[in-house]
Amino acid sequence: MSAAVEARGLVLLEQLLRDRGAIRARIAAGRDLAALTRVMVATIAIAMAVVGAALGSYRGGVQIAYAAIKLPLVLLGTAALSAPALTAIGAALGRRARLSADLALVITALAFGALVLVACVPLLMLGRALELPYHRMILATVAIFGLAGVASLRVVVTALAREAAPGCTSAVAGLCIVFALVGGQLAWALRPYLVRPRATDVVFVHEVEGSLFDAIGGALRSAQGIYTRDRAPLPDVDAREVEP
Amino acid sequence: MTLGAIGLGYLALGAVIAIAALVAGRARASDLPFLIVLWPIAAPLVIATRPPDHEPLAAE
Repeated sequence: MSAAVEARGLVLLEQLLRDRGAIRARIAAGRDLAALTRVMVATIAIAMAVVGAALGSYRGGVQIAYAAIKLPLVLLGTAALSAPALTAIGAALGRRARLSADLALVITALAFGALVLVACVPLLMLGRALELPYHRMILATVAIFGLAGVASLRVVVTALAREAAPGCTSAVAGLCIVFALVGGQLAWALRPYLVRPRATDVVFVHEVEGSLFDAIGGALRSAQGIYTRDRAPLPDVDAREVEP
Repeated sequence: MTLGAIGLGYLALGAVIAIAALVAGRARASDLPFLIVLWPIAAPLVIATRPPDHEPLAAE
């Protein structure tokens, strides 16, 4: 990468953090959207790798690399599959179709969210340093990702509010639904990211066992005290301890 | 169908789009990784917004 290209990328990142109005104006004018999107995709990939490594460090070892590889795949894959929904739903509701600008906007919003997540990495590391229990760590992670999601959504909503075109609100709502469904299922398919420190073996991805919705149903049933298995799986520590 | 098969199909489709764009002069070699890995986003941006290579260069 040449120094000029690198400097332009850093300028775009600075604009994303300090002057999102300039980015919005660039997207609205349709100016060099491919270059903007490339920088934002690289930002998402690097930022999510850092966040993934931080999550993986809760267990440590090879899980750091696994989560650092999978988390960028989840966000970029979800973006690739669901970003066109903003244009499609908007067009169906009477909004002017601007596919390139909408794609650039969604990727820019996700890059902003990824930067918010990176900013929260010290909190994840603090949780690890304090040896926060697994379920509290999960809750902290969900809260941090929720915060980043709201920050991303705000970028999209602010940009579309200036259009004041018919169907904008419904298009954003539709994008959120599609993004949540696709992202939830993709994240579920590529789990785990946060693994208990006591886990002896880690896998890159779990075997396909139903969908996210099956898991949510199972979690709701177990919260009501309805269990379908005798006991939770534990590492085979006891067996190794009794061996001579 | 396994996750690996879906991923390979996704990348293969991206490769076809990237090669077609390159042959048609709508993309540069540097666009290929972007087109292959993220073709649902990259294809509209690179192909639809980039004029054919034969367009004269604008004066700086």
